[in-house]
Amino acid sequence: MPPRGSRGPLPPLLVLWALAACAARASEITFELPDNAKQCFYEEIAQGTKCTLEFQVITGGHYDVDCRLEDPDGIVLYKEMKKQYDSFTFTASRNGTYKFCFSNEFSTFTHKTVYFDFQVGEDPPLFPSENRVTALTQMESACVSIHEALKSVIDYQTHFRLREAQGRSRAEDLNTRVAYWSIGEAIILLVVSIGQNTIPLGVKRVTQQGQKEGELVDKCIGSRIHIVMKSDKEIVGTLLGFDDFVNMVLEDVTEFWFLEEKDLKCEDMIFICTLRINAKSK
Amino acid sequence: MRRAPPGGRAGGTMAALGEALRAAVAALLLLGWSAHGLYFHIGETEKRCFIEEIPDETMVIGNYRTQLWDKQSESFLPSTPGLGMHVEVKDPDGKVVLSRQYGSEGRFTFTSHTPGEHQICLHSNSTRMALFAGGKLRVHLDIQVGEHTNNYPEIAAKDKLTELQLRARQLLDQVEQIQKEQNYQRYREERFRMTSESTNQRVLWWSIAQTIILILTGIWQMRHLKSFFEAKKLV
Repeated sequence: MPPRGSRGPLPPLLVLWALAACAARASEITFELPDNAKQCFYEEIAQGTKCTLEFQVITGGHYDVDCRLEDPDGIVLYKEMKKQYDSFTFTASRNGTYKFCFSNEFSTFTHKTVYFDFQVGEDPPLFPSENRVTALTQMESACVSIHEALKSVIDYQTHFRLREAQGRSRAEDLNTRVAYWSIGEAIILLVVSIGQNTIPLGVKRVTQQGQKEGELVDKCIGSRIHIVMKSDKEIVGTLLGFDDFVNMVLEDVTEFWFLEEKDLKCEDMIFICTLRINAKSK
Repeated sequence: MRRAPPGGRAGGTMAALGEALRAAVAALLLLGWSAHGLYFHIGETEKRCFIEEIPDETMVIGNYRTQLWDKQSESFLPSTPGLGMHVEVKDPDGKVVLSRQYGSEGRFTFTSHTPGEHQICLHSNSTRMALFAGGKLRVHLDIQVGEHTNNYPEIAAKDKLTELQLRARQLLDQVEQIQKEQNYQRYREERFRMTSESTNQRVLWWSIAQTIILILTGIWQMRHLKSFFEAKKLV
């Protein structure tokens, strides 16, 4: 503090400095916003201070978040829905507590990581105690301009770091998704192909009876068989094939049927002695 | 800000003294109150975590102040003795770097030894107050990283630097921070590249595997169907 005679102006200067020092703040915070959650931050700002709010979503879902900035009276100064990145500058119109909120309420199950940088006022000078009555020397002004340039370099670096983090998060997401999808699809492919080829075709008949009959008739394919029907008609032929209902396809067929006694003539009669095997199953 | 003394030299001195005292107290209060500008509310048993992505050998200083909600006066108490905050800091590998309990107002410091995302978690130590659910805490928080942690007036006084030297020191610190960040950037880019290449490999191997599986399945399917049709005497 500059040495002064009276004690009068000293405390006000102290207060002024305190105000100036407190008024110039930069809060850079990265936090995790769970799904269906809203998080609010408050700051007391003096009137006339130029403030900047900048935010970016780093990881999670579609990388977007709702943001809202309100002044002490509740008037909404800035409101954006589902924004990935934005920067908003305003001048405080009155003293009081300003509030800004980030909301992830539209998302059901993705957590978001949000970065924000809330700059209030200008940076405090390096030497708050002195009052500048003389102009800066060339060296000093060169230092000041280098300092400003380096500050903007650091700023760009931060932006780049955030974008890189975002890109990396997407790449890692992609990587895990490809892994899960590959495994999943391999399993689905195998299950579907095996199921497709076995279920509609390979289901065995339940009845033993049908099986036995089928097997026996199956053995006769290609050989001559003699079929005796209920209507007393008989058919002799070469069995080519049959189906489940024992519809048969025969070749070189001879059909026999019985005539009435009065219609019989001696020339018509042929005596056939064959051994008939009745394969009648129970 | 300057008020005329009420009158008389003795009265003037007393008034000036009173004014000075009041202003000093106001300044101190202002310093104390608004020194930590940003604040937020958390539940009494809630844990709040913040992420700091920093290069290695970087110092991080966090200042916080906690206020408890008083139901009777419907406001936040200026200070609550006995209320503590537990601060836990984890490094990118998940190892705990700092795990300490501080009072209702405190300052924690740590230096990173591995580059990456460090997690700073705060929660209050009020286990007994968990019974009275609905308690709210106002936490003022200020986290400074790297070059911002330096207190230049202090450095100037300690090393007895002139103004120019102090400015040069500040520039050096800034450049060093930029350098560290660039180095960290290189390491991050390498990780990114590894992830991308891994994805590329996986996609490649998966395509080949899928083609082989399809061909084998097709062959098996045709053979199975052929034997089935032959068995059913349809071919």
